[in-house]
Amino acid sequence: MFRPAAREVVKLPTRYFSCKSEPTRAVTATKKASREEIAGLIPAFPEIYPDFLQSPVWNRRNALKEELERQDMLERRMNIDIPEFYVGSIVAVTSSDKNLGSKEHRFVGICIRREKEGLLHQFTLRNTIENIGVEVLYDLYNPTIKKIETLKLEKRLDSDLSYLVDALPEYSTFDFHMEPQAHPAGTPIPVNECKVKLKNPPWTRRWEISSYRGIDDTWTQATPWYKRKLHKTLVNDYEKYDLIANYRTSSTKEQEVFVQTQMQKFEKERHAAGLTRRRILKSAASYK
Amino acid sequence: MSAHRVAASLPRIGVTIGHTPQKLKTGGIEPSRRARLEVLRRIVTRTVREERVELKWNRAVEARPYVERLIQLGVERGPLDEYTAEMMEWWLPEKDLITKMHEVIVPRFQNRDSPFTSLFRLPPQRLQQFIQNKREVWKRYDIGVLEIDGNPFPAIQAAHQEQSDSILDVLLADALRNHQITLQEKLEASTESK
Amino acid sequence: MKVPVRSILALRKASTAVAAVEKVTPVTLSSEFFDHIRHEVYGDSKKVDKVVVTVKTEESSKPVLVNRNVSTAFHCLNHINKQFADDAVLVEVIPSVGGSYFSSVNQPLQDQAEIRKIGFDTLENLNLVNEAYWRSCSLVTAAFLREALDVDVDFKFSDGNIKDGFFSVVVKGLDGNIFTPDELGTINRFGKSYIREEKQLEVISIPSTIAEESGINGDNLIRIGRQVFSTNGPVIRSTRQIGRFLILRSKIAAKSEKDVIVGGVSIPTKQPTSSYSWSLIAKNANQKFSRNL
Repeated sequence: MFRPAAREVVKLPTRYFSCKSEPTRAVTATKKASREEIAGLIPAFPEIYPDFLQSPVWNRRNALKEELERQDMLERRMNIDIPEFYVGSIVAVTSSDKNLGSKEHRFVGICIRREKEGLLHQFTLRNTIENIGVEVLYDLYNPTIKKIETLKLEKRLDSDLSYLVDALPEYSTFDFHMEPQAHPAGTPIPVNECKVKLKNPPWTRRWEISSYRGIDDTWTQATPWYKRKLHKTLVNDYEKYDLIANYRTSSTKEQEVFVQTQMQKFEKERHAAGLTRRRILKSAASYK
Repeated sequence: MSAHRVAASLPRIGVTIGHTPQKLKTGGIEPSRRARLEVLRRIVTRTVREERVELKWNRAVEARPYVERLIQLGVERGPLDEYTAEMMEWWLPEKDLITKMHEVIVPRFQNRDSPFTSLFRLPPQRLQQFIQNKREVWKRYDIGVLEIDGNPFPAIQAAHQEQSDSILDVLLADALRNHQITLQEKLEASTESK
Repeated sequence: MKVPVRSILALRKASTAVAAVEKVTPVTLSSEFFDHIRHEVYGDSKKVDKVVVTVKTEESSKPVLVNRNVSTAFHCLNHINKQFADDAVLVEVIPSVGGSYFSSVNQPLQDQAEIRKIGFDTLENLNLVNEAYWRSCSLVTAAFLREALDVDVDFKFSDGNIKDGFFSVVVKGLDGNIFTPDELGTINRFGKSYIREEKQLEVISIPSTIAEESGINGDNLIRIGRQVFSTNGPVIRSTRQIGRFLILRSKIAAKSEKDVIVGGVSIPTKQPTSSYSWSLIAKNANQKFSRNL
């Protein structure tokens, strides 16, 4: 159960005789207050900073843990530039490797998924090297990572491109020496609406029953055996209508505002201390 | 992460929500997640139509956040948002209720925070289930009233009135005061005697 | 010698009771007398004259056509709905000619007027309601005591305040004999069943001329069931509005040895209370009554 730190517990006004609801929450958010705080805050915060969100398991949300992790994450972000990237962007990661001559190892690939919250946040890059598909999992806050660059900032139709493993290799091939394409500040993030063609079945997962929008026409390609199996398969597309199940896993506006104000405060303190001028809370889609 | 792109996050739902969804009895159909959602959908539809419903307590507790979320979607995102329209269409299968939601209910809460509903407890009801070999079987149900605030019905609980001049209040206040005084005196007397 | 108290079902025939009154001209208060006075004050009920009364509610005013000097405010309020009329304790009457006044619900209306219902939950006139309630409780006590006791008794009412914690009635004719606990028990049981019969408190507002003529001291003549009394001030509508009711005890008056004061306490039905609270109130009332006077 989410319990904020002691100083942040706010007593709500009790309403006479109604079902007593006093869930503890991070910050008071009357409509007036949020308007003041909105200045300088990013509406697309969950997409740009998925590591700063709370655990999708409600019972594992712990304010103290999140607070401690957040401090460490912000410290790390002050030391190294962790750029904005999405699933579908092409990212280059330079990590240290003691066994190589240059002590560095650079990998370029398309980000296919971003998982976990807090310091555990991971992202996977996929590329095809010598006709073999390679996926490398990186911890975002791994201290041995020297540099993360976004070579091409863009989004795809899905937030999880795991299907590229069964797609034709051309969709996963990216040049290692690709030149970084700068994203003009203030413009919205481009969405690459390409539909990926899959290889012949069998596939690693049942892409024909999944609702990924980035796959081109899975049904005709699926074999009759799988098509016959479909009527026995549970296709759970009603899950998106379960508003409260989604509420339990997702983030709230109050929480985002709280985290962002913390980040702003941290930034301000560090800038005032004069060590760095690195900006943590920024969005490529909004004007500076 | 879901495959759906959502706009700016919605505010907190200001209502107690359990961390585990209840398994509701689904009357005839095999209980499943889909069946549970169907039960909740019917409750939500009835609540939006009648604005005050009486139902089993656990169901009222379960359905309340769904009603809140639906209203919140309408308030925050408006009727033209794609996600809101999809949710309203599914949760309110009677289409005139979607219009009602956007034109009647949502405008009430434009400047208000959650919670938009109230939940009250009624005394438990004993209802006869069936008769088995001339033996009547009864069951007790906890009943709750779920209502959307601002409905046109008279308030369930009368507004708290400071009626200190009514007969009962005057007599009772006097009685309690004197009772306290006598207790005090008795206490003093007993301490003195010791 | 103790005065034997009648059993619960004993009925007293409506005979004249000679009362010792302060006034010079003695008067016999009986049901026939009540009807006679009503005829005098309100005229012949054969000639029915219509009058328009406007009933004022919170939202609207509703004009209602009723019979002059026959229909009471209750009949007018009934046109809104029965529950509205049942809830009424007093009415404020604002006649088209003359100043507004407060009257009982069962008092016939004499002129075209606007009436406003006053209930137990009307905040503005709570003091009036409380007074009227206390007055009515004394009258009801007198009524059923007269029915219950097989001696000719007469009553004197004093202006009680709810802040006293109890209401009281002075009983003359018991020759200084107070009630035993058994008798009190019987009286209480009889009183409660009497109240549960839901007797209306019919009221006649007597102008001063007729009062002097007939030797009634008081503004109003009240009839409860078969018993008639005179008082100053309005009373509640019916014994149905009396909820918890208890006769505490009786004691000898300080002034004259022969008079017995009977004290009681009551709460309206509209203000329900738990039995614990009621026991506190009753105990308090008892203590106060014993200490007082």
